[in-house]
Formats: sequence, structure tokens, C-alpha cells
Amino acid sequence: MTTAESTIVALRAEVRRFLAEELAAGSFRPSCDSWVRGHSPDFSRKLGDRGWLGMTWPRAYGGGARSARERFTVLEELLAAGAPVAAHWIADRQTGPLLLRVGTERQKRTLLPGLARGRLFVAAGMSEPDSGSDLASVRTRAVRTATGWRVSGRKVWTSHAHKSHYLLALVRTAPSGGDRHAGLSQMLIELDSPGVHVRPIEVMTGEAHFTEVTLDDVDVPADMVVGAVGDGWRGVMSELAHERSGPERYLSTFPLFAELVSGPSAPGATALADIGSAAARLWALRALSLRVQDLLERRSPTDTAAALVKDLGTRLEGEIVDIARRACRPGPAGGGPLPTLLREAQLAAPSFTLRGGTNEILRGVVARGLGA
Amino acid sequence: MLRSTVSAMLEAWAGSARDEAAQGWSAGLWRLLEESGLTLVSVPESAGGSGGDLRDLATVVQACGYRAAPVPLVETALLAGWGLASAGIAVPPGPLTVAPPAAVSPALVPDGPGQRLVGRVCGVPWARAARRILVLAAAPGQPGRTVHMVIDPHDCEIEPGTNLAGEPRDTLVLPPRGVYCRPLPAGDGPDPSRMTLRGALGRALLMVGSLHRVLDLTVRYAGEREQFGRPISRFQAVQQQIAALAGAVEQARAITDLAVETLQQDDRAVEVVMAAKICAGHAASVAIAVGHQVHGAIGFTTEHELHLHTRRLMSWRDEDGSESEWAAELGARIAGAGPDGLWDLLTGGTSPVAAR
Repeated sequence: MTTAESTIVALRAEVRRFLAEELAAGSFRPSCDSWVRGHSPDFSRKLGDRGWLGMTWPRAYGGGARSARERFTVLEELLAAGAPVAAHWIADRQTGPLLLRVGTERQKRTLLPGLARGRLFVAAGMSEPDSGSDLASVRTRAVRTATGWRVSGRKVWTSHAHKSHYLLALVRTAPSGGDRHAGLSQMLIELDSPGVHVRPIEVMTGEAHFTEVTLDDVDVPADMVVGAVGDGWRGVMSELAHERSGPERYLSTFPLFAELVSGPSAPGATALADIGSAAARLWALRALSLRVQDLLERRSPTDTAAALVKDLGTRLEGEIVDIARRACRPGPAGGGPLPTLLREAQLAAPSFTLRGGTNEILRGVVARGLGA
Repeated sequence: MLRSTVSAMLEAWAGSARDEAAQGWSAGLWRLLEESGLTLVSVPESAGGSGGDLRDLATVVQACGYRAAPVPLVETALLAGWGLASAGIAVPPGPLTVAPPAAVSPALVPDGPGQRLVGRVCGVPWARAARRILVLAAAPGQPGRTVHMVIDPHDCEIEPGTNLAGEPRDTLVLPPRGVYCRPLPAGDGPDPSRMTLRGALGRALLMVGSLHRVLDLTVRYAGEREQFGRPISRFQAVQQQIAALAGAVEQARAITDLAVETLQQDDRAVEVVMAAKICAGHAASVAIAVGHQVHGAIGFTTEHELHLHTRRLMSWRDEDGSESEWAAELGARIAGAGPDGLWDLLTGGTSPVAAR
């Protein structure tokens, strides 16, 4: 075993020990889709204290200077266990890496340590009413003031804005002219700024992790623009490759899958074949996702491969729900973890192929990427 | 280096002799590969092979799949060559093959202290072209003990048969006295279950090559073929299908690569090979449907290359264990593996067996 491999084995064991202790202490209940619904600032702080947030960031900014493979290992262990990781998810996955790529030195120094310690949480403000997968159609506008920008508009489908400190917003800072992707910028908006109104949106799971954020003449200092003014599209696109290819795109229903195969009632013959088939494809997706991580590390083009992982992974997540449902006769009545996980997963499943860009749009990305 | 050499060789062959792929056997291509030492890659030189590891062989096999090369490469190097070499038996030159273990056991009969193989053995790949045929069987009444026969096809009658792609899948009619079996030394040698699993891996590797070719052909055709005044690749409905095809192909390729890597480290890794054959089987069904749908009527003709691949994929997804057979087996292993069994298996790195 190489040093890198033994590091991973040791780290995996450490995360599993931590999770076992937390479970025993009752600090969380395993849940499906925990990277979206499992919001626990306490749990995020514990991860931050252990150095499991911002793992790959430089030490100078509070990061751990560890390998992408180590970070992947921690992520997949947390997701497989259904641990509550939603509070820091956006900051760790998108905001931190974006700041490291294009942020100012001051932004890195003031923000990254808080993100890495699980003390500062960020919500992603990309989508808007009517924009959907057509992200370039955003209409939230920022106009220059003496000290920075004044922002007006409406963001929607923003997870946990009511529990976060910052909104990373994609806004229009100049008319697009002919190029729809020009004139867009990203800026960090403090969510307690005057003029910010956050309204939770209840979804059919009965929860309200989504919010609508109304920005009503919100003043944003000039130094909170992330990256060059007008260059927001490029930043958003590079975030999306990370967003689409990670283990959260095939492990959302893994806690249900694990409970199905190891729970008290033995699956029948038909279910066993379904389980074998789904496990094989999950295994393949993990291999594919790891390959994309390696490409991202080497800054190789990954749009096509990332879109493939998202398309295959989110459909498999949904299929696992169906397999569990068919295997779980007489239905989700009664107690026990399996019926609970199944109820949660069934209600969440329709969102899997929507969030992060609808699968239909991503398939177009794949086909064009192949040169068709 | 190996990849480009093999690809160039096969491309030159395919340019001049594609009709041989439809006939299911090319003596000329075999000679070409054998002279270059490619037919016994991964078989140790000490046993008469040309060295190299399983990764090297996988490269050659995938290239053969990509070109629908009608030669028993998997049977010679991955199966018979490996089986003979690991039993300490010299590997003879020429095309070799093995009888699928599942087809063998009913024909073993006791004869004094040993056994004879009598009757018929069905579905032997390329029996008519093989110099020697290796047959492995579980010794009756001796659990864990394997016996083998090395059969010269000239001593038997061969009833030709083919799979859907026209590849030879012959029936071996053994001589009336039968063929004597010799016991293999206990230990790390070949046994029927390992042979079955290696067969599944070999088939998955061929399928990945073939799947890749179907994807390439389909993408190219969609970009060239115009309908309603534009290339059909501009239609979203066609893009959806091509992306589904690409996804299935990449999925199969990723897990098959992992299976090769894993088996390279741990000769007894089994579940990841099952997963590879399952994913290749799924991908085959997608490739057959999408490949033909996008190619329209031309892809259904024998003058187009597509059928060389789709007919092989139709055959191969059922040979060496279909995706449903392996899925049932893998599912049973997972369900019996305890609370963390599934996750340990998926994250077990190079040693999924040890992880259980």
C-alpha cells in the first residue's frame, strides 16, 4: 500500500469512528438527501474543528492543505452515513474554491478561515424566478454607487438563506449586449444587510430549506465582488463542474439503500437482483466520479464527464428509491429506520434530476461535448 | 504505446478485411497478432507466453472489441493461457480455447480411480479454430478439487454453431471412450469458478471496446446525417439519446477498468468483476437501441459496420453470465455481508473480498 493509500484508509477509519460516536450520542439521525436537508450548525462546527472543512485549501487561509482524494473520502463517508452537512455544503464545495481562484487577498483572509471552521455559512444565489436552467437569463441588477453597488432583484430556490451569513449572488452589472454571458458578476451579500428579505418556501417534503431572497436596493461594498466585474459567468461555470460530479450526486439515497440491504427483513429474490444491479452501477459511478475529481485537480476539461455523472447518478438515486419501495411490502407503515428513510426519499426524489441543472439540459451539454 | 500499436494493427486489418468479422474467424489477423506476441500477453514468459500484466492484456482486448476482431484472444490469453500456466503446464502456440465450465459438469463420469469426460460439450468458442481446448471441471465427490483435460480438437468431432454475431460457438462431440481427466494440484491454480469469473471479465472488456465503437459511430453519423435541413445531432431528442448512450458506455468503462486494476492486485476479487459484467450488460442494451435508432435504416443493413458490434453486444451480454444472473449473485453477497457490507465493498479499494 502506498503512503497516499494508507492515509486514506486511516482517514476513512477516523471519520467512521467519529460518525459512530456522534450516532451513539444522538447528535443526528441518518437521513437521505442530508446534504440538502440536514442543516446543523453544531455538526458543521464539529467537522470544522476536526479539519474536515476546507480540507484542500492552503493553511494560510485556515485550510488543511490536504489532497482532493482525502476530501472526497470525508465527503463520501458523511453522505453514506446520512450525516447533516447542509449548513456548510455550499461554502465548502463552491464558495471557498471560488474565492481561492479569483478572490482578493483580503477576501481570502477575512472569509476562508470562517468557512473552514464551520462558523460562516453561504447560500448560493444563482437561480431566479423564470430562469430555471437558463442561468444567463438572470435579471437581478447591480448599479454602481460611490462605495460599491446597489442590488435589486429576486433570487429563488436558494437553500438555507434564512440560516446563512452570506448570499453568493449572480447579478447583472452591465447590459448583456449581444453576448448573454457578458456583464454578469458574482458578489457576496451579507444576509443581514438592510433591504434583504428572506422567505422560506415550503416544499412537498414538508420542509422549507428553499428560500426566496428579495434584494431591495441592497448596498454591497465594492470589495465584495468576487472575481473581475463582468466575469461572473466563467466563475459560475467552473463551480458547476464541481457541483455536478461529486458524491452527493449518487449518494443522496444511500442511507436508504444500506438500510434495505442490511436491515432486519431479508430482501426477496427479485429485490436481490435489483440490489445487485444498482450496486454495480453505483460502484461504477463512484469510479467515474473519482476520475472527474482527478481531472478537476489537473484542471482538465470536465464539463462533459461531470454532466454524465450528474445524469447517471441522480437517475440511479431515484431508482434506488423504487427498488426499496418495491422490496418493502407491505409499505411504509410502522416504525423503524427503513420506512422513515423511504418516506423521506420518496418525497425528495423528484428534485434529484432538477437541481444543479435539469438532466435534459445536461444531456445536451454531453452530446455537444462529444462533438455531435 | 501498446494501445497505439494494437490500434494501428487492427485498423489496418479492418480496412482490408472487414467481411472476416462477419464470418467470425480470421486466420490472417490471428497470425498477425501472434507474430507480434499479442495473443499471449499477460501469460508469463516462463510458461511460453509473452509477459506483461493484466492491464496490458485489457488494452489489447478492448482494442479487439473496438474493431470486432474475430479472434479468440480472451480465450487464448486470459483463460486457457492463464489456466495452463498457473497449473504449471506449458502453453502451446496457436489459438486456444476453453469450454465454459457450466457446460461441462454433466458429462463427467467416474472411471476407476479417475474420471472420464464423455458426451458433448456445448458452446465452446472457436473450437473449430483452436489448437487445444482446455476443459476444467469440479471433481465429483471431491469438494474444492478441480480436474482438467487438454483436448486436441482433431480427436473429437466438432458440430459448428454460432452466436448471434456469427462467432463460432461449437459443440464438441467427444470420442466414445471419452477423454481422461487429470487432477490439478490443489492451491492457487485454475478452478471452474475462477475461470467463469475471468470469462466474465474478458467478455466485459470486449464489450467496452465494442460499446466505445458504437458510441463513436453514432456520434459521427448524427453529425453527418441531415434531416429537415440540419444535422440530426441538432435535434434535442437525438441529443438525449446520445447522452444516454455515452453515460452507459462511460459507466461500463469505469467499472471494467476498476475490475482490471483490482484483479491485478488481488487475484480473488470477484464482486467488482460481477459489477463490470452487469454494467456492460446494461450498456449493451442501451447501445443496441440507441445505435440503431440514431443510424436509421442504414444501420440495420449488413453493408454498414454497426451490426458487427450490435450483434456481438447482443451475444456477449448473455455469454459468461447475463447481467441479471450476476446481479442476483452480487445482490445475495451484499445482503449477506452485514450492516456495513455494501459500503465497505464500494470503498474497499483494491481488496473488496478482504473488506467483507
